[in-house]
Amino acid sequence: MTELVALFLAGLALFFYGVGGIRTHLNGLGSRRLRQQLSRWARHPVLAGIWGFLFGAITQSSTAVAFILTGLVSNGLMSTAHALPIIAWANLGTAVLVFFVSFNLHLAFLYVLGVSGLALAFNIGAARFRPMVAALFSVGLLFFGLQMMKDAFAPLPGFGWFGDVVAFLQGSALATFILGLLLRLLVQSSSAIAVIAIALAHGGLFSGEQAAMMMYGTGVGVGLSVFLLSSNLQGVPRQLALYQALINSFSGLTLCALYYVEKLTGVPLALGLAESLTGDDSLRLACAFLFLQSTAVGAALIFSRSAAHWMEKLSPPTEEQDLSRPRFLSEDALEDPESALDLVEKEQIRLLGHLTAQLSTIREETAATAIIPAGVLHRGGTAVGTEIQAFIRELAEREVDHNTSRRVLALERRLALIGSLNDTVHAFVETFTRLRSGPALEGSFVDNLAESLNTLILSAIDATHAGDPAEVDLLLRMTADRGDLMERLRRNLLSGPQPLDHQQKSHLFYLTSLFERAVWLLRQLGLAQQSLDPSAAADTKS
Amino acid sequence: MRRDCRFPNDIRYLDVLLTLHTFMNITTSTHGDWTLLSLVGKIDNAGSEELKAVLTPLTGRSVAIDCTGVEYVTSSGFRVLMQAEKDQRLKGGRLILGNMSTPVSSFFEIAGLHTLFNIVPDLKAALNA
Repeated sequence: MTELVALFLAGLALFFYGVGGIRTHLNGLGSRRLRQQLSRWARHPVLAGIWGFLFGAITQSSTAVAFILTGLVSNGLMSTAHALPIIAWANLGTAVLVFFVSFNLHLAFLYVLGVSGLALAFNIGAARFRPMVAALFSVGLLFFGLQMMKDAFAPLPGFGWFGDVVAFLQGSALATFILGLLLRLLVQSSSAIAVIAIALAHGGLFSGEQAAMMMYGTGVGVGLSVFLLSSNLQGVPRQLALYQALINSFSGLTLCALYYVEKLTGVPLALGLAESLTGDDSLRLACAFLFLQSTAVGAALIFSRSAAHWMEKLSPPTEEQDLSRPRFLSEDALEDPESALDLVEKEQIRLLGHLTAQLSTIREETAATAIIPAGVLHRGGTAVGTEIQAFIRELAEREVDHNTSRRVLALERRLALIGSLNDTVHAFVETFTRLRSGPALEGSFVDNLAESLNTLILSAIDATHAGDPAEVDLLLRMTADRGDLMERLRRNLLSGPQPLDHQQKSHLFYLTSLFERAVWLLRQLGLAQQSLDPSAAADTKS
Repeated sequence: MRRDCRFPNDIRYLDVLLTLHTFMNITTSTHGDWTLLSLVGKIDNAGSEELKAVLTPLTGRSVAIDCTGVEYVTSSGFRVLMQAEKDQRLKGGRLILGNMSTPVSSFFEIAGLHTLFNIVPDLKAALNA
């Protein structure tokens, strides 16, 4: 028994490690084609349904599907609203196993784990596929963990106490419902429990009704299990988990209620329908499991319109998740390219705002009140930038007129500049922090660099937001080359009365270089604005 | 009602308050047609609000800012001065900044603002000229 507990714990650890690994390595899955393919499938209700069904059928665990989609949604590869139907249909997919109990996927996942693990260990394959291979390895670990948990409980029927429990439950449908619930908490696969229930009924330990109720219990068990497994999640990933918990609990409780209505009134309902479909006991129970999963899908379809809204209420996105997703872009806007480009501009200005927010974390008068860490803002900006890039690319693939095409190119160029600025400002903030954490520097040179950079970014926001030629001109004047000045200031600082150690000198050089780079990028932003609005260029020249 | 004293939090509140609330002294005088504002302290968030309140009614007139006592300028301060310069230009007024210390002068240079403003080394001499 001790070995089984150890096996279960090891399985649980691998499961969690796999879940975390999928999320981490999907960060590296930047392939636009894959992204677009995934989101395209998810957007289409039928394709989403098929995908979910197949996903559930292959993985044998709707919980695992929910956690894998959690990774995709966390990384902005898919919206919550698009992920929910996939999770719902994955429940139905798990029923396939109950019909084909002989189908063994354990071997397949061992191959996935082995091949991807060896590829990672020996650096086999192109570097660009490594995130994909690492994600596959995590998927393999997740299923290996699930399998270990299943294996830990496989010998249960052989234990004397289990036989006593079964004898104690003899005749009680409610007790087997609760047993199904509890087993589902331990064994992370409803279909596996359904198979056990069929086997127990086949062996005469349970009646057909008890076996069906044991399966219904897994519905509520899924709810509780997902609820517990997602306790360490926040925001969007938890939304998916809660959704999975709610629709499964709903289906389990509904079928349990139907059983009692059927029992008390004699009106044939779920079990009656299964009996009318087939005379085979095992197939009848497989049908009962199918009804359970179909009810979950039915509940999902009924609440499909409001589900995303309610999930967001139950588990609002965290600050980082909120910052990592576009606020203005919408798929519908792609139908009208001009409006879509207006939204891209708004999103880009929002990203510029993130730059000043990053600087707020180090500026003397705002550092104490800055709530969001610079790293979170930087990562959020990068994620939104990727989304904008995909949106622009999708627009560019459509047939647009010459002017729109020119605007697309200008906005793409501006996005690249904002992306570089995001990285540069973040490096500036990090270097500034390192410099500040060392021996105190006299004077306020580095503070002034931060204040100046903030002023320049605010001016860039004005120029970009208003599109006013005078503002663009102002930005271009402010960002004129200051290489000589910076060199002079560096020399003064290094030859000043305060002795600086090597690390301080190095940080100081890097900080001033980053400042110069940021100024150059802001100037390019001003020039890009001119290409968006030719009247600005004309006004500047005049 | 008496608030319970929680030392760590109270110290943090005090830090925030001290950080946010720095004082700037603005003295107003006239020199011929010019309104002369003498600033002492930091033109930070709080200081820039005070400066803005003084500068706004002077839009369209000739304003000279004596920066002798200015220790430091934050981006809020730069923004208020930039807006004042823009408003003066639009309304036909004038804005001169002068008597800056070397560090403050280099602040303006680093921010790229030295070309936007009329900055003179000796304010009195400029006003008398």
